Order: sequence, then C-alpha cells, then structure tokens
Amino acid sequence: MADAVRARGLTVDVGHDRTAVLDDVGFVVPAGSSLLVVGPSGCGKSTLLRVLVGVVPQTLPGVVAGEVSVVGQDPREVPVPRLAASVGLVQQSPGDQLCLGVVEDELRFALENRGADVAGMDERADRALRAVGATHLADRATHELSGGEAQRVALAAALVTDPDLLVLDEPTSLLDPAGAREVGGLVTTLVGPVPGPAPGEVAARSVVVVEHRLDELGRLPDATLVLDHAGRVLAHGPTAAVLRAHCDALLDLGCRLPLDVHLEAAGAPGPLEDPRTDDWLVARAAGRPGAPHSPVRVPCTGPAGTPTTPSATALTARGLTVHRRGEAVVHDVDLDLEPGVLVAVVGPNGGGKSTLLRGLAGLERTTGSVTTRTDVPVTMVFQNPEHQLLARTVRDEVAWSVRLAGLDAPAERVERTLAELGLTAHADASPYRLSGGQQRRLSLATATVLDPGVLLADEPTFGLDGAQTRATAAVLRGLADVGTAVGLVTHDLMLVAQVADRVAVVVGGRVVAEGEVAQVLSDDGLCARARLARPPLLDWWVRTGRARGVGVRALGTVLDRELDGTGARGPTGGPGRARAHADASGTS
Amino acid sequence: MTPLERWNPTVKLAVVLVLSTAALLVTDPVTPALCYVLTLGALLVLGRVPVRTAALAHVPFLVFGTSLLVVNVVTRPGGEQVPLGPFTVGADGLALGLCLALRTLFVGMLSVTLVLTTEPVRLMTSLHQHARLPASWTFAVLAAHRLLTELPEVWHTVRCAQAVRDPRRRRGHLPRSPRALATAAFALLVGAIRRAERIAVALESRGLGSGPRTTARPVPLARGDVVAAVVVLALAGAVVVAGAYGGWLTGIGRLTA
Repeated sequence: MADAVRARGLTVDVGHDRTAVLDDVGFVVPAGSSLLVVGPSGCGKSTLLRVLVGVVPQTLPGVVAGEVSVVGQDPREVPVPRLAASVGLVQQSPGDQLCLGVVEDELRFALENRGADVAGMDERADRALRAVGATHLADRATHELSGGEAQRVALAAALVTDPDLLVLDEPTSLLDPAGAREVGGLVTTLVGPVPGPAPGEVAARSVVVVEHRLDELGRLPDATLVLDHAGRVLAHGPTAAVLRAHCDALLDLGCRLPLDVHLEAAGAPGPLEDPRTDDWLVARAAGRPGAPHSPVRVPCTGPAGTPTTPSATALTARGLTVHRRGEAVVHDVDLDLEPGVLVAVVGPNGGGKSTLLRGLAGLERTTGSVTTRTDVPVTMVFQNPEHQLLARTVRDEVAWSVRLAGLDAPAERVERTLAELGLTAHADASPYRLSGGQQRRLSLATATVLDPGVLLADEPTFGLDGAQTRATAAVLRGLADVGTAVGLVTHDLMLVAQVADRVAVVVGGRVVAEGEVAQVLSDDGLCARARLARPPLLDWWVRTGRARGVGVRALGTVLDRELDGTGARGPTGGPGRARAHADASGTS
Repeated sequence: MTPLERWNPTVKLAVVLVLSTAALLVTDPVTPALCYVLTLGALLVLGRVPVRTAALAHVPFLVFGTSLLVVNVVTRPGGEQVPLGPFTVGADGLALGLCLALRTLFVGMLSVTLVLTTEPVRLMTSLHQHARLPASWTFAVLAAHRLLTELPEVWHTVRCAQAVRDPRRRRGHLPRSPRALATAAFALLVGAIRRAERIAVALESRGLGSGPRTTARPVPLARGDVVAAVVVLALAGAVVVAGAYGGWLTGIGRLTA
C-alpha cells in the first residue's frame, strides 16, 4: 500500500509576494500511522497541511517545489475536490468549516459530492457521528453548536467518506478546556483500519495533526515532525524520542511539551504520580515567586505611580444586569475590581463572560450600577485584535486613544509603549499585516498606552503559542503590579494559576463563585459545574502540592529552566539531564 | 409542513418573479391592493405564519411605501384637486403614489412569503435539481447564507471593540457617526473575507465540484406544484381582467400621459 504522505525537498512560498514558508522539508507518513507536527507560530505548519490537501497552490496562491505525494497522488496536480476523496481536512476554527444549516445535511453533503449511493448514506452519516460520540447532535442546527460540538461534527464530516488520510489543523486550539479534552482525546483513535474501496477490503487510515495543546491529546501520535522558525525540519522521528531529545529546543521555540516529557526535561525523578516527584516538585516550588502561598495584595500605586488608598476600588458593579437584543444575558452581578488586583473570569462557553466584560466597559445596555473612578478610563482588549483596528499604521493605532484622551507628551508615550511591547520595528507597518502574536501585543499596547485604571481582557491568549501566551501573561501581570485593576476572561487555567489574584466563576450569566485563586480552583464541585477541566499539573497541586505548602502561582514557573540557578534543583537528575540543563543555560 | 412550505421552491420562486415583474406594468391603486390582500391571505392561511410575524415584516415596506406616496403627492400636482385634511393635493399624484405604495406592499409580501415559507437547503437543492444551477453555485450560496446569519453578531462585536478605544465614550452608547460606521464596516469586511476563504477551503475539502453528485433528500416536483402555479397565475389574471371590465385598470402608458 502507498505511504499516506511522502515529501522530499519540499519548499513552499505562499501569497502573491512569495513569502518563503517551508524550506527543504522531507518526511514520510506510512499508511496506518500518525504524525504530529509542532513548531512556533508562523513556522509553516498550517501551510504544510494546506499543501497536503492541495489548497496551496490550487485555491490559495503559492509555489510548491520538491517532491510530494499524498496517498499516491500529487496534491499539486489532482484537483482539491477530487483529492478530497482520499484526504479529509479539519481546520482550526469550528465556526468556519460547517457549510450547511443542519448537522445531518453537513455529513450527507460530503457523501453527495462524491456521488455516493443514496441508499447507504444515512447509515454512513450515523457511523461517522458515532465515531466521534456525536449521534445526539444529528438534527441540531450548526450555528447553535458549542465550539467542542462543532469541532466534533467537523471531524465526523471529514470521516464520513472514509478517507485514507485525515489532516487536522489545531483542532482543539479554540475550544474551552472541557471541549479541548473531548476533541483531543479522539484524534489518535481515528488512526487504523477503515473499509476499503472493495467490500471486505480494509485500508489503513493515517492522521497528520498540528497541535499545541499536547496534554489534551489522549495518546500522542506515533511520529513527530518539528519545524523551526525558518520552516526547516529541526527533528523528525518517533514521538517519544523526538520530544525527549529536543525538549530544550522545543521550549526555546515556544512550543509546549506534554507534562511527562516536560517533567523529565526539568529533571524530575519520575512521572507525576511518583512520591519522589512530589518531593521534587515541592522542593522546586519553594523559592519560586508566589511561594509560600499567601493571599498577598500587591502594594497599590495608581496609574503613573501616584499612590492611592488600597480601599479605593477602580470599578464597582452592583446588581449589574446586561441586556442583549432585549434579553438579560448577565444577571445581577456584584463585582469589585481593585487597583493592583488581577481578577480572572472563568466558566463555560456561552456563559456570558464576554457580555459581562462588555457590560463593565459600558458598551452594552445595562441596569444596576457600575461606578468607576472618574479620572481613569476603562480599557478593554477583545478576543480578535483585528476587530479593534482603527488606523493605517501601528504607530497611529497606538496614538489613537492618546490623542482622543488629550494626554500630555503623546509622542513620547506612544514610542515608549511601542518599545515596551516590542513593536518599534513594526511601527510603520499596517496593523492588518502583523502576525497573530504581534496583533495581540498591539491590542494590548492600545490599552496600556493610556496607563489605564482598569483593563478588561477577553481571552487575550486565544490562538497563541506557548511563548506568545507567556509574553501576554507577563504584560497583564505587569499592569496589575503597577496598580491597574485587571479583569481577565480566559479558559487557560494554568494562566489563571500563574497571574490571577482572584477568580470569578460565571455560569449561566451569573457569578456563582468569587474568591482567591487557590480556593476556587481546588473546589471540585465548582470546577465540574463550570466545566473547568484542570490540567494535570494543577490537578497535582489540588491533590498533593497544596497540602504541602506549594503556592498555586509557583505552578506556572516550577518547570521553567531559567530559574534553575536558585538552588531548588532536585537531587536526582541523571547525567543526561545534567547535560540537557547545561545546554539550556547556555542558550537561555 | 404547510402547503406553501410543501410547494416546490423553484416553482414558487418562478411564480413570485413573474408576479413581481407583472406588478411593474400596472399603475392603478386597486389592482395591487387586491393582489396584496390575496397574498397576505395566502401567507396567513396557507403559510400559517403568525399574525405578529407578518405585521413586523410589513414595517420596512410600509416605511418605503409611505415615502413613495409622499414624494408623488408633492411632485405631481396635476389633476383634480382633492382636499386632504388641511392640504389640497393633486389626484394624479395621489393615485400614482398610492399605486406605487401598494405595489411595494404587494411585492414585499411576495418576498416575505418566499423567505418565510422556504427552507434554504430545499430551495438550493431544488434549484440544482430543477433549474439546473451548478452545485458549486448553490452550495456557495448556502454557505454564504450561513455566514450572513452570523454577521449581525460580528457587527455588534466590532462596533463594541472599536467604541471602547475612545476614552471619552459615554456608557451604553455606541458611536453612530458615518466615520465610525465606515471603520466598523471595513473591519467587518476584512473578517468576512478571511472567513470566506476558510469556508471556500471547507467546501472544496468536502469534495464539492469533484464530479457528478447524488442528492440524499431530493425535493419532489409533482403535478400538484405546477397546478398550484397555474391557479395562482390564473387568479392574478382574473384580477387584471376584473380591473379591465371595472374600468380601474391602467398600464404604464399613464406614467407618460
């Protein structure tokens, strides 16, 4: 049987301006196996997948040089719709890949297009839905599905024609924690035998998946391909070996590691359940920021360093009800945002978190009261940075609100902010031309340039890779540390553990709990009710670490290498690990 | 399904197009008024559309129709002088204005009937089956339709996202200046183009356009569908004939008279 994918010397330029994306990439995916593709944002992972399904160069402009064959066909020659008979594609954004109004129609659509026999269609659609645990969604409207449900339907629609190869582009990246776990757990279960073209014949399905959130994949794919910033192959081989051998390089690229590999790379004596690992983590957490855990209130200074009294809240909401289209979406919320305190707002998709934030910012029709200290503007960054763009250049974008606010020394302020967020080099570029991570920094810059008293951030790490997430977290925490009151809506519980002071849980449009981070995240009943699936390290903290005095904020950095000089190293790192760390300290 | 929902969508669309075009040729107020009443009756009885929904659907057509009436009354002073409250207006302008206003209501209700009683997937499947439109075309329209249903929500988000950039904004008010709306429209457009690209990829990767296709849920086209069309057109013809006998029917010649 032909290999699912063969690529040699694959070099790809995309767009009308021929941006070089992939450089001399070679790998093979044998039939019936799975491949994980990892690399930093913008390294060409998505482009690689688009080449495999023929979209580049057929639908989107690009030049593909070198050898590439997918299930024995050349994806440059075979038209995309015809290639689709043997290759199924699932894209990132759940909302943009369902074409029809009803789930069943969506599944039948793929079969109809291939001229499949009408008689067996319903049964095949059923089988595909069953494979992804979504039979109950068959007659639902596609626009009413949650992200996790929509993504499962997209998987079923790709599976329904029994393709030999399934190509998945970050299928979990835009889902809430519970949704990501549902979809991620399915990925490697899709590898294996599928009914072949002739009755009784069995073909072997292969999977190629790009994914950041490796802990959410139930089992990791057989092989891993690592791409670097320049779109070259950094490593390729069996997953366990590649991740272990290149863990430092991967961390340097800003990639996330699965927790067990990350633990090993950091020098842990065993897997998470091992008592020695408990000791090691506890010892290592001591001396990290935030430990020992205490509900510290950061000393408060107002914006621009003016001291304020700690009791003066920056924003107070009482009995706040937010209406959308004549309906109350958020009910009766009491919330205080205090200077220097970062409040994380968590809860299931569609629970009203974003609407609450917009209500606090005065953008929706509200009843009840929201009072702010009049001298400070409430700023907000939205989930999609492109929605907030108003100007033609990055510099004008940052200067926009400064000009409207009539602040002193506007030019200086703008240049300082551009420098702080690493945007000086792009100051004259069009905001629409920036990468995802740069656009996020720009949206933060448009708020921080005002030295805001209150900053509200709606999923600011949405779709970012590990390094970009850390950079965003640092900006938000930094703002809180100079006295800004920060409200942060997020699904990333590790981020909450790392930067938040308090957590508000929003379910069904109501704040059902509000308290210290440690207290909220360790409440099992509350977490289940709010669909807060704790990542493994946070779970360890709730079960073990907490009782042994580990601060929840230390979790964010406990596996970081940069702090290894603090003397908190475990005693049992082997010689191989010692070398790895020597390398790491050389590069960091 | 109601009788109007059951009616073959291609036939229904064709009838609506014929009636709408024919209405352009009539310039007296009575004929469109009769047609409007008949259409509304069909919408309520055969389409089983709730009265409230039908009433709300009138709003844009009433607004447009009223403006047509006013414009014609003001700009056509000719004919017999008719006292209208404190004013005196020309009969020519009044008759023509009323005709255009009622024609707007009639054509408006025809489109409302089509929209409220036709399921998009059935319409597109039927257009592919019976009007031989290419599948790549009909399904692109369906995907665009799905994109459209989400646009109002995105529009609101964009307006909020841009409004928050103004530090002097007032609580609970989104800017309505032409400039603010234009900037929001641009952001909406950029987002729509990016989404359209992803949807195009999704359609192709589902194999749309790979060759001959089958249809799992064909839309039936039976004798009854054609009979219904004949009955509706005959009814419209009867209204015109009655107008000719009754003497109130006028054609487009009157516009230049």
